Amino acid sequence: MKEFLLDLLQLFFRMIPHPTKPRLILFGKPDRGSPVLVTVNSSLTVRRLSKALKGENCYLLVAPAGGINVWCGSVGGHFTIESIISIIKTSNIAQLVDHRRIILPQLCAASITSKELNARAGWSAQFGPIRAEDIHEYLGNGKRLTPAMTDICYSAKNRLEMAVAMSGSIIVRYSIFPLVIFGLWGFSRFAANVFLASAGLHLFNEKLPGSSNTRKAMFIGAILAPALLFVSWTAEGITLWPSLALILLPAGATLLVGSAHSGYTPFKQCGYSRQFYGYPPLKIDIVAEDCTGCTLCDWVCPVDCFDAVTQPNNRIVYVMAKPSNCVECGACLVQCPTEAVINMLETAPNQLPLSCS
Amino acid sequence: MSTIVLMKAFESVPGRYDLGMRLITFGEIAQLRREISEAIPANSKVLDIGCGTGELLPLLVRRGARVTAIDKSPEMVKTARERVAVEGIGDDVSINQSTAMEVDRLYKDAEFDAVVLSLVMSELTNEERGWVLNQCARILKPSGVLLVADEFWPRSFLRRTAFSILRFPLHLLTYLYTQIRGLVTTNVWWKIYYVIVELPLMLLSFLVSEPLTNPLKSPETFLPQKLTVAHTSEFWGGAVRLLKIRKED
Repeated sequence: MKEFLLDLLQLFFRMIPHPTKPRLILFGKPDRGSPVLVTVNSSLTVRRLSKALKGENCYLLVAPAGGINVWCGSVGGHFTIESIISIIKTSNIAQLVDHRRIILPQLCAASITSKELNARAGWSAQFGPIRAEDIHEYLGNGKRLTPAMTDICYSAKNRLEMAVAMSGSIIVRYSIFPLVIFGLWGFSRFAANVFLASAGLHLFNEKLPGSSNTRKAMFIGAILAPALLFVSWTAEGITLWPSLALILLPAGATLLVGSAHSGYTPFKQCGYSRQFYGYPPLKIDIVAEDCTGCTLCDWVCPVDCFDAVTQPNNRIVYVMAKPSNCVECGACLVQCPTEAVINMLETAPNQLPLSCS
Repeated sequence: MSTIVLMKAFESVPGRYDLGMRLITFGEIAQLRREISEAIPANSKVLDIGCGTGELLPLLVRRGARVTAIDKSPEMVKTARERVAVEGIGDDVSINQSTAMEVDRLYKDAEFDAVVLSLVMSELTNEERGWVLNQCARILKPSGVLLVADEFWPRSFLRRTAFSILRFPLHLLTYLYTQIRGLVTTNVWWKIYYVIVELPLMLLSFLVSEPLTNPLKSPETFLPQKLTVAHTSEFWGGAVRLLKIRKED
């Protein structure tokens, strides 16, 4: 119960870091050949991973990454090669195992390559599954990934979690306005509206009418506002100002929810990163002549953009088959060993200069 | 008394960093650098970990030292290399981009007469500090010198209290500045919007995040056995100290 409340609190405040001490954690009775997993020092992440690793025999390195989750930390420049080098050195893991291989969460592929880690620290890295729940199967299968393990999913549980995270970030950011104008009365109505609209938009996104998220959110608002008015009128009687407020608050809440929504799904980059931190737009393509068919881009892509095709000369190459799936995370661009993956919007060498939290 | 947590605000632009350091230390940084270079044995082989813009390098070369310098930031390395080229001391200095956590693979046992850690330790975690100092002990020759210049908690209770009271707002301002300086938007309305709506989140993040720099406690708490403090110079009421540490034979 305590853990559930902590999870909920940290989800609600997902926009701020939850750092925990970088350290080495042992699961079961690991020996000199046991796998070494690496994750970030976000306490929510470490707690969930620890639950999934119960019953395994392995080492877990919690790398210093500012307390931010794997995907944001990796794309935002907090979970880097330096984080991994630091924890490898300070944990003395080299004295505990004979091999020099670590297993990384797949979503850090946008910032960490095995090649660079090998050159700088003498360790090689392979990417494990995206989700902690798949690790048991992955380790049991001799560290073999299945295609399903490498794609993000957006289940009802994920949606609800994202609704909590999104309403948290909107409530913390914008509550000052209803609080100043309408006082606590307005704040509580605003917060309730934001949460209900977030939950509705995440859970029923595909079923709601409207061509954009803002319109879908406005549809929810059109249900919420009369409902609020009705409750208020039956309880407090009809008065002008509170009634006006009860139209304004849901309208504001649904507009904010609608514009923020896509950034809180795993299918779109958050709008903030581009607007404020200059995250470069990516339009990914593969130069067929340079592609060696090594499959790496396909494995690290979290949204299944790439397909293998056989060329007339029987050479297998990868192509950008589903550009509309692309989340512009840049993992394929960073990982491709022959630089066959290119960004069509950028001809200069590919750099992802970014520092956001 | 000043606190050098502010230096984190200037790190993104090397030119501004030098000026900023001079301002926040009231010019005493020059004195600190001079003392570092004077503590180096003449005609020795020196490793400067975290060389920054390389202001120390000409002073070291003038003492007859052959210097290897590393810094984690590519911009700092570029600026340091330009300085070395301008000063014409390229024959005696080599600069590489690397972090302090990589010295185990880069240098052999007993390779250096002196190692300089200037404003590096306060940016590391306790575990990293221990690791780096052990490595310094390894790569130093017997009776080699390790120079640690950094921010320390002052010794007396009164000064320590004054130091933390002064440090808190400066730390907060530096944190907010480091959060905002990354903004690329040129539209002033977007900037105002950002500051208004992000301020609650930035303040919460500040409270829960690791501090930008951690001042050091007394040397006995972090020095490995092989290293002993030979001499301490204090600046700004003990808030910044230069430790001359000797490796025992």
